[in-house]
Amino acid sequence: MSKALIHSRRRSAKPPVAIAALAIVCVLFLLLPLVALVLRAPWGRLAGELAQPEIRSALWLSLRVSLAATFLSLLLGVPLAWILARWDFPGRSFVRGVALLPLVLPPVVGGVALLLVLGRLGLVGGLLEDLFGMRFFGTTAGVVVAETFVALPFLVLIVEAALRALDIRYEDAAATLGAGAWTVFRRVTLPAVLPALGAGAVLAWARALGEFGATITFAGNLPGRTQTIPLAVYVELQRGLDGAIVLSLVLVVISLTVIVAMRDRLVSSL
Amino acid sequence: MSTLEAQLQLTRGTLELDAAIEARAGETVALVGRNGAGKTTLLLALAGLVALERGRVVLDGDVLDDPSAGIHVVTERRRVGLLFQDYLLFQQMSIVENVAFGLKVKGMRKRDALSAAHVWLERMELAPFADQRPSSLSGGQAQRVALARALAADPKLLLLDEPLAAIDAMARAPLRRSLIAHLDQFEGSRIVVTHDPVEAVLLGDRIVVLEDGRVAQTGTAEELRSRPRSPYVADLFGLNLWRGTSREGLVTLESGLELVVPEAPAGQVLVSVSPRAVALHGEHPEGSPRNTWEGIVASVEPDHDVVRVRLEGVVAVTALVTTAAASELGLVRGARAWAAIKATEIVAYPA
Repeated sequence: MSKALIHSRRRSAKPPVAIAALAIVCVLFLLLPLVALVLRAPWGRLAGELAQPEIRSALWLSLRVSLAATFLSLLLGVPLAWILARWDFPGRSFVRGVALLPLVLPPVVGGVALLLVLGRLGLVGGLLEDLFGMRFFGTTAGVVVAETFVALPFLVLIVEAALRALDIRYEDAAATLGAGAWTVFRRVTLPAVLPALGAGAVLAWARALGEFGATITFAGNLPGRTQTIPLAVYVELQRGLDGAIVLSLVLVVISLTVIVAMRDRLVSSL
Repeated sequence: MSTLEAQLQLTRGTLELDAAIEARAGETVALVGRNGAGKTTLLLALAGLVALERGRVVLDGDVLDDPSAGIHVVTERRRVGLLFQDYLLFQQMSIVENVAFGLKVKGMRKRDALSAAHVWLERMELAPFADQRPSSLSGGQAQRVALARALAADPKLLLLDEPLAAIDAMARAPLRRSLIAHLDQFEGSRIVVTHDPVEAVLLGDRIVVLEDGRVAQTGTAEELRSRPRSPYVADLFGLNLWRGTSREGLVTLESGLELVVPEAPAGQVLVSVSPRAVALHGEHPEGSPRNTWEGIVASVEPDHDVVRVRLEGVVAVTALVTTAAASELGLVRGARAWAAIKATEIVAYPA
């Protein structure tokens, strides 16, 4: 009853002029750059630009690496989200803070910090290289690490919220039916948070795809190995506008697709 | 076969549960009590979802809990089915998958589990809904699916937490009948939590009354009705109950009122009177003046074709009078009236 009243009021009331004007400015501020991008795009030479080897290799690399980072985020993020949602342990807020840190940390700083750990002279980087021959600077693996670092918080944040909202008694019910802890997690908990898992994964993927600062700092800028689309945009920009605009358009199309496909889901799970 | 013997002691929030409960195979025990009396906690403890501090739970000869010996069998190995008040069907599974869940997790092949689940759905007259989602079901259908799901997992003990609470009042009676019929098919023991006395009487072979975490009284409905031992039990059956001291056929209630009860045993007694045995008069009744006192009408509640009148005086008493009598006597809130009880209608028994 009261809910319906609130809704009808929100719909019918007219906003004050000053607020409406600022809101319009806000929309224009967000929209105009995209419009400019579309207007200035070299539509006639689009196919040609996209066919250029360095652009194609950047696209292909970005796709592979961002998917790998998304997979890694799921693999590492879901268990952490589950622990944060279900276990009350000392230092839980600290751990949650750590998990969300990359969200507010400038990516460049993240890249530097990663170097100090996994770089050849870093805390464990030298050891990893000696033992397993793992190297991150200048390698595609390095890009995956950098992108996972910045993408993880989105996944943890959304999946933890979903797990928290879940009625734990469903898990109790499953246990009374003979399901052990792992079966309960797999057959009851995971399916129930699947929408959030999807939303988290898509957001993490979009973040990974656009990653620039941590990647260029930690993994470098080698065409074909570490030069993802955002890095390629930056490089193309030094040479001329067209290549940069084409690559940017690709990212815009992907972003818009994500937003349109996920709009209900993102809003409801955030 | 599947007999439950349990002594449960645990603290949870402000509740201190300290109760013993038994259930024989094929027996339904109705567990009644006010909100917060510990009914649901008791079920959760039997299901192994809440740990005991002390006590012992034995089902069918197997010790499920014995904290002093470090024994606690986890929920999934107990074979204790639990029907939650709001059923908790898995929303992301179809109806038949819900029912098959318990069979699948036991390692049954998917196809066999589904066909066994179909048999359960047939039995519960739910076959047409097999492939639908739980959200499309009515409350009564959801309850039957939850029951089928619990029974399909082959429990030895079935616990039902207010199985009819989520059902519209209008639909409750037929659903209660079908629930009783389905429970009768189940060979293990069952415990039904309810706070509806009608449900307790109809569903339970025996009633256990829980008050503040302790068993206040246990027995058949008839035993409880004839000798309620606490105000709550008396309330459950709508009876008046007083405490008093009896001497030579005269019971002195705690409030000082004296009642003539020729059959009363000597000493501390409980006195119970059916509200139908309480007569109300507009003025002091003539003739035998015994067991009569004056009071003021505190409330008047229509109850089908009679009126339930609460009269407050030296003791408070509830009387059931016909609607006609109520209007004739002018029984409205604040009116004066006299209550009178025949000595032969008063039941007194040792406290």
